[in-house]
Parts: sequence; structure tokens; C-alpha cells
Amino acid sequence: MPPRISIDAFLPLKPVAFQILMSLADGERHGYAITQDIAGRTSARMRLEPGNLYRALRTMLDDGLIEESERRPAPDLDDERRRYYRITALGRRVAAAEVARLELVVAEAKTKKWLRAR
Amino acid sequence: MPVYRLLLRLFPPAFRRRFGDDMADLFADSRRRARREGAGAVARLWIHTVGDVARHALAERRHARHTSPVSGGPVWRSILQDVRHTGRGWRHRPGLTAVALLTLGLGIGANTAIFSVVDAFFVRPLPYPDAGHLVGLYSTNTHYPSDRSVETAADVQYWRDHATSLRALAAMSGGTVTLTGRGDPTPLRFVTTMPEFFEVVGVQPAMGRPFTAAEARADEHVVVISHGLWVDRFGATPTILGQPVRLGSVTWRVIGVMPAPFALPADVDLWMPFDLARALPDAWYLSAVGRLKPDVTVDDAQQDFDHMAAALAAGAPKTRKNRGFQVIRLRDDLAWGLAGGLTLLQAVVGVILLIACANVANLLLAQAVVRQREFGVRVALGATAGRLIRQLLTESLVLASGGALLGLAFAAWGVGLLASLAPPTVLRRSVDLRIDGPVLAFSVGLTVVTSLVFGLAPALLAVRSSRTAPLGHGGRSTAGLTWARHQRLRASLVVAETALAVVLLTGGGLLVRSFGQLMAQTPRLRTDHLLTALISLPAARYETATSRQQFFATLVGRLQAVAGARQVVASNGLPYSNWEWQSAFLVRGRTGHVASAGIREVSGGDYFEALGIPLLKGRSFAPTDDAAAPAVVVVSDVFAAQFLSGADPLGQAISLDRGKTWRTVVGLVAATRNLGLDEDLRAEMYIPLVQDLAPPATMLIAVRTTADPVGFGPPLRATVASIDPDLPVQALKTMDQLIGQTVADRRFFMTLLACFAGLAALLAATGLYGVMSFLVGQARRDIGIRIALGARPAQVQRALLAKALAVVGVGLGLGLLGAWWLASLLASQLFRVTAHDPVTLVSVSGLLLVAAVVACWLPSRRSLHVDPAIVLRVE
Repeated sequence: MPPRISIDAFLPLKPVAFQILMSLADGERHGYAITQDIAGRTSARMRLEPGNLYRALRTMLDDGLIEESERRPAPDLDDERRRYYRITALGRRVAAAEVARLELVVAEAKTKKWLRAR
Repeated sequence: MPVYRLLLRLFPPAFRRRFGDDMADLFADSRRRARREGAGAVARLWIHTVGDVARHALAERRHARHTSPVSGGPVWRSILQDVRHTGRGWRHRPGLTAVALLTLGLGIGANTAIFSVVDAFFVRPLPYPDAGHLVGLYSTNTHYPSDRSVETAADVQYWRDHATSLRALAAMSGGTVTLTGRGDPTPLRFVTTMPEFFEVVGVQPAMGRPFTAAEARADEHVVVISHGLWVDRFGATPTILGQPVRLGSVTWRVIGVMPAPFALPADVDLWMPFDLARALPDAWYLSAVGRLKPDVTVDDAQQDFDHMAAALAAGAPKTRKNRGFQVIRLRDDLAWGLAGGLTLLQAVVGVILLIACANVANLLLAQAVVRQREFGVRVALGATAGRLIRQLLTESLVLASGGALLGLAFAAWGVGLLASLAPPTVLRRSVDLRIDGPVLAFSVGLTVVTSLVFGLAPALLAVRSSRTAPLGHGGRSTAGLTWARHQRLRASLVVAETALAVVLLTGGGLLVRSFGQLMAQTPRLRTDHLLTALISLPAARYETATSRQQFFATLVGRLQAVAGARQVVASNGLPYSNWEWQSAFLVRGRTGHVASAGIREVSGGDYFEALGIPLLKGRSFAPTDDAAAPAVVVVSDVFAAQFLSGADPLGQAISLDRGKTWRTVVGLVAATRNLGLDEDLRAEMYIPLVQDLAPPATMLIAVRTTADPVGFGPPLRATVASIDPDLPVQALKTMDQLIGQTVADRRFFMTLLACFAGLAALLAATGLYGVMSFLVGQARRDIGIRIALGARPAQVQRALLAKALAVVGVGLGLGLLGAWWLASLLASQLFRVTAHDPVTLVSVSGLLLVAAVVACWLPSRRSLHVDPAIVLRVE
């Protein structure tokens, strides 16, 4: 029996990793599409340079949060050479756990008076 | 792109193999987007990218080291250790590292950017097979040794029949023709050339075929077009072959499209057939390109052509006595007139890099003193001198490489800036500036050399002092000898960089002064609210003199009726337009005196009033000066002084047709210029257009407008189109733009050199600041003792300043000597300023002294706050 991987070991997720998981939650994408998606979702507050993006992808591949997809769009629709990534079951669970963690943090923060909107 | 690929090498190989292509793709996408936003966005992108790669590549390397077995022998590992050590050192001294990186980045960047121009012209192979065997062929005249000229068809024919050194040659002549029937009429550059042209250059059309000898003989209207024209005007349609194009009023058939990079002659869009046998034999209008036989050198070919020139001269000694031929490598031909300026610029940026090296060497020397203890420890622990030197040189190399990365980013930005700022007379549209293999190799080589230049001396001194420095002390108090050597070396570095900066500042200053003199020239006419345009009537449709005169009369009449036009004139020449006609003339009563002067034929309103050229005497032309009236002429004051010496010009008679008819001088006007503000005032004659039997087909229109002259462009185009819809309006420019154009080259070189000179001064001042800060820091003990002994802090500060400024003074003196000696190199670029202009020398010295005083004074203030009690207790 393989050793059970503790989800908690991945938490808290780095913001870049979390954003990538959110991108891939909607479907398979290649690197460029991930940066576009993240830039769009964060109103360009998070812009990923290639070094940053691919190092994060490498770490997440090693950790088994994502995997390379063997499927790709029809060749005439896209560039042959580009690699596509998709989220793994573990990745989904980690992302869900991160969301739950963040919700707790937010709920906690909202009980503080000094943060309440006037 | 090669730059980014190079950056990617910083990542571990496994990572690069896995993601490299995707990363390069992603970067290319970002760059495309940034390019659309402009040069600023591209610069920002490069800065982000360098930061991104540096950060994440290091992290990936660290990761790779932890997960895979260490490879490589002990040397490799110890060098890696040194590199890591350097990284740690940087973190401890962020300010110093940043200054050193920025300094080196600016130096290497400037050199790389200028070298990319050298590369485009002199290093990168021409895009033709075996281009070393391609030559340009010209005619020369011993009377004008620095000049070369186009050829006559008779000579080209002679070359073709007699040259033994050439495999083939092709003559050509060019011009502009109007593309009609596809959007706005557009002037395009064309050449007509012999069918051998394609064989000579060794390039065939990418699509279709070249024209044949039979087509040239039959004068068939077939044309080969450029790739750019095919894409821009024909939407890159694959069915282009056989399609008709209207050029002027003639329909041509497209038979071929040249490949994309082909640009010979530069910026040409159309190649049309030309038959040498049917050319005018004695007109000088052909340029020629030839291909040498396989084992023939350019010198051999020159000898061959010298023989031919001698043979021709023997046959016609009278007419051909001074004439010769020139064979020139095509590469040199294309870069004609550029080598001098480029050498100068490359030398200037080289000097900047030297200053940068001196700066960094100084910083490292300062460090070496601070780190003496560290070296002492390492030697005590068994490090050999060689190991220590290797460590320090590795540190230098890493520093230089960091600077080079930054420099490449600067260069990528600078190259774009150069290409957009350079006037087309300096860099043609088709010149492709880029950072490619040779340029990269150049900067890598430069980086290694640079690191040795600034790193060797500090490394050697550090090693020497590590032997003498005992462990227990900070070092300096006992290592007096080495300390003195340090000081001397540092002082001479300051002297050197000050001197170099003075030389560059003088050069920049001279150009700025000279440009100021140029702009102070009065243009000799009213330049505001004046719009000019060029209209060229095609001979096929405007054959007769009357049809041409009529066209311009109609045009001027209609333009005058347009709202916003105050005065309208047409002439075959306007000041600063670079269009000039010359005519030989006779003055009645001066037998044998035939001379030549500029002639302007004018029509429309009062030419002189419209352009604001002062009428000094007599009258201007009147509508009554028509074809039937007595012929008249107006001359400029320079003409009168030169050719009518002293006598009253009014009433004298001048003939433009060897005495057949005579014209009476009716007016005297102020002289103008034709080419630019740096030109002497000209001897000019003016006649009414209607009084010329052979009026020119190309005329310039000038409109004095009531409002902004640029706004009159569209109504002008519309008016021309209302008379002849196929006629393009060319060179639509305001008079201010025309004058601006004539000084564009000078302005460009001045801006470049002044910027580089400013950069040099800034670097020198930074260096001075660094040295002074260090000096004050190290001298704290001396200062403390002096203050304890009763010296006032201000006195101490003055003494420090005097010491530093003495060093600057030596540098300044040497620099002025160097500038005095080198300034004559700039003589050809100067206007009404001598190479030893005292104003420039004095202001440069003043500027540098002010910068030096500020750079020394800022750190010296700290000496005021030295508390003797604290300093002495610590010691």
C-alpha cells in the first residue's frame, strides 16, 4: 500500500501554485494560456514571467499536483511543440483544502473589529 | 531571441531540455506584445526578464544540486564554490554591487549597441552567395579624388567586351515611379537593370522568374517586385504572377517576387528590364555591379580596370585624360561613407567601457583593503596565491557577466532607439539591426576582457597584501608599503578616468557648440506657415511645354482659391529643398565670361514676397512678364557681387542661351541657400516660368498659409487630384521640416556623442565619489587624531578636498592635452568652431570641476562628524 500523502503538508499553498491549480481546474492548458488566464483573473496584478511559471510547474509536477497531458488539440489548432498540463486528483484535493483553509482564515479575520468595513 | 536563449542557459540542463522551448515561446509572445506598446515596454520587459531568470535559475540550480549527485572534478567544484562565495559577497555589499553592475552594464551595453551597427555593415555576411566576389564598379576623376561617379553606357559596354576579371556584370539606373490604382498613388523606388543582374547577385526570385534578354530587347513591360511590396500592397496573394500593376500611366505585368531579405540596391521595390544596347551611350547615369571570376581578387580586378582606363585614354587623350575606374568590394560599397563615423563611435564607447573598468577596479581595490583580513585567514589556512587569484578573478568574471546581462538588456533597448532615431541618410530603412551571433560573441569576449582589465590589479594587490598582513590586525597600520601602493594605483585610476572623460566631453562639447552655431544661422526667408510639396509630371502625359506650364498655372490658380492659402508659388527650386538647377550664362559686355549659377523658374504669385526673401532693389515679376513681353531676370546679391562686380545690376543684360536672346535684370534680391544651413549663400538667377521654352516637368509648390501649414496638406492633395487623379503629391513638408532635415545627420551624431560624453562624465564622477567615500572612511583615525590635536573639522575637510582635487587636476590637465591632440579628428563635423575652441575647453573644464567638487564634497562632509574620542578608543 502506498504511503498516504498528507494533504496538510502542502498547505499553505504558494499563491502562484494556487493560481495555477485554479487555472487548470477549468481544463487542460499550456503555459502561455495559464499566464493569460491568471493575468485575466487577477486583473494583471499577478504577471508570471517564464522562469517563475516553469519553476512552479516543475515543483508541482514533482509533487504530483499536476501532470503533463498526453491529449492535445488538433495540430492545426495549435503549436505542436507546446506541452499541456492538467490537474491531478491530488491537486484537486490540495486546492480544495487550500480553499477551506483560506475560508477559515477569512472568517477569523472578519470577527476582528479593526477589519470591519465602516 | 538568441539573447533569451542564452539567458536560459543559466537554468540546469535538465530543466532547460524539459521547458526551454516553451519558455522561449512564452517570452516571444510577451515581446511581441511589448513591441506593440513601444520601446519603454520592451525595456521594462527585458529588465523583468533578466530578474526573473536570475532568481529562478539560481533556485533551480540549488534544487538540482540537492537532488542529483554532484558532478565534475575538484577544479570545477572549487570554481562553483567561488561563484557561490561571490553571490554571498554580493548580498553583504548590495550598494557596491549595484553600482558596479550598473557601471559595467552601461559600458558593455553601449559597446554592444554600437557594435550591432558595425555587425550589420561589416561583419554579417551579405545575403548573396559568395558575396566576397561581388563588386561595385565606378568611374573616377583625378580632379576629385575623394569622389566617385556613375558610368556611361559606352563604358559599361566596353567593360562587358574587354574585362577579363569579371564573370558577369549588370548596369542599372533607378528612380521613382508612381503606383496607381491601388489606394493612394504611392511613389516607389525602381531600378531598370540588365537581365544578367540576377545571375550576378546569385539570387533568383522566390516566386516566378527573372526577366530575359529577349524581354529586355523587346522593351516588354514586365517587372519583378520586392517581397515587402508583395506583402504590403498585394496582401501576399499567391496568385500575384501575371497580375497587372499600373505604374504611372503604363501597365506592367508581375513576373517574379524577390525573397524577403533581398535589398539591392537598398530600398528598391521594383526591378525592370534594361537593354544596354538601346541606352544613351554618353549620358552619366548608370551604376554597375559585377561578379569576379572565382580565383580573381579585387586588386586583380582593379588592375584589369586600370588597364582598360589606360587603353581608353590612349584612344582619346583629350577627353579621358583624368578619368579612371574603381572596383570596390560590394560590402564596402554599401557601407560607403559610414566607416569613419562608426569607427569614431566605437572608439567613444570603448573609452566609456575603459572608464567603467577604472571605476570598478577602484571599487574592488577598496574592497581588497577591507577584505585583507579575510585573505589573510585563507592564506593562513593553506590557500595558495594561485587559488586566491583564481577566486578573485572568478568574482570579477561573475561581476562582469552580471554587468553583461544588464548590458544586453540596455543594448536591446538601445538598438531599437538607434534604429528609430537615426535619419534615413545614416541608416537606411532596409538595414536590419539586431543582436545576433557575432554581436553576442563580441559582448561575451568583451566581458571576459573587461573582467581581466578591472579584476587583475586588485587581485594581485590583494594577494601581495595578504602575505604581509598579520592576522590579528585590521591590516592597514602595519602594511604601510602596500597601502601606499594602493593609494598610488587608485590615484592613477582616477587620473585616467578623469582624463578620458575630459576627452569625450570636449568632443561632445565641440559638436554641441557647432550645432548651436548652425542653428544660429538665419534661414534668409520666413519659415513659418510655409508648406512645400513636390510634383513631378510624367513625360508621357505632359509632353509639350505648354501642357506643363498650363498644369502648374491651373494648380496655382486653384490653390489660391482654397481657404487658408495666403500666397501660392511654383518653382523648380526652393531654398533647402535640395532641388537645384544650374545654368550657364553670359553677361553682356563681358566677353568670354561664361559661368554657371543656380536658376529658379517661378510662376504663381510674387515668389519673393511669398517666401519672405527681401527685395533689395528694382522690382519683382509682374503678371505682364509673359511669354510675349521682353525677357527679364532677377538676381541675388551674391550673384551681383560675384559676376556683375560693382556696377548697378539693374538694366544689365544676361543671356542663358549663349547670346541668342538677352534678358534684362529688373530686380536684386537677398541670396538664399539650397542644401542646408551650413552652406554658403548662393549666386542665383530667377526667371518667370512662362518665359522658358523648355519648362521643367518637376516643380515644387510653396503655400504660405493663414493657419497651421500641416493642416493644408489634405486640401493640397485634393486640389492636385481634382486636376489629375493619378498624380502623387510627393515630399509634403513644411519649410521648418525641410530645414530640420538638412541638419538631421548633425543632430543625430551630436545627440549620440553628447549622450556618451555625459555618460562618461557621470561615470567619472561616480568613481570619484566612491574613492572619496572610501578615503574618508579609511582616514577616520587620522582625522580623529588631528581633531584631538586641535585642528578644526572644516580645516580637515578642506585638506581632504584639496588632496582629491589635486588628483582631479592632473587628470583634467592630461585630458585637455589629449583633447587638443584628438579634436582634429572631428574637424569635418564642425561648423564655425575650431577644433581647439577655447569656449568649449573652458566650459568642459568648468563642468568637470563642478562635478568633481560635488562628488568629493558630499562624502567629505562625513569627516566633520568624526568624534575623536570614539575613533581613538576603537583603535
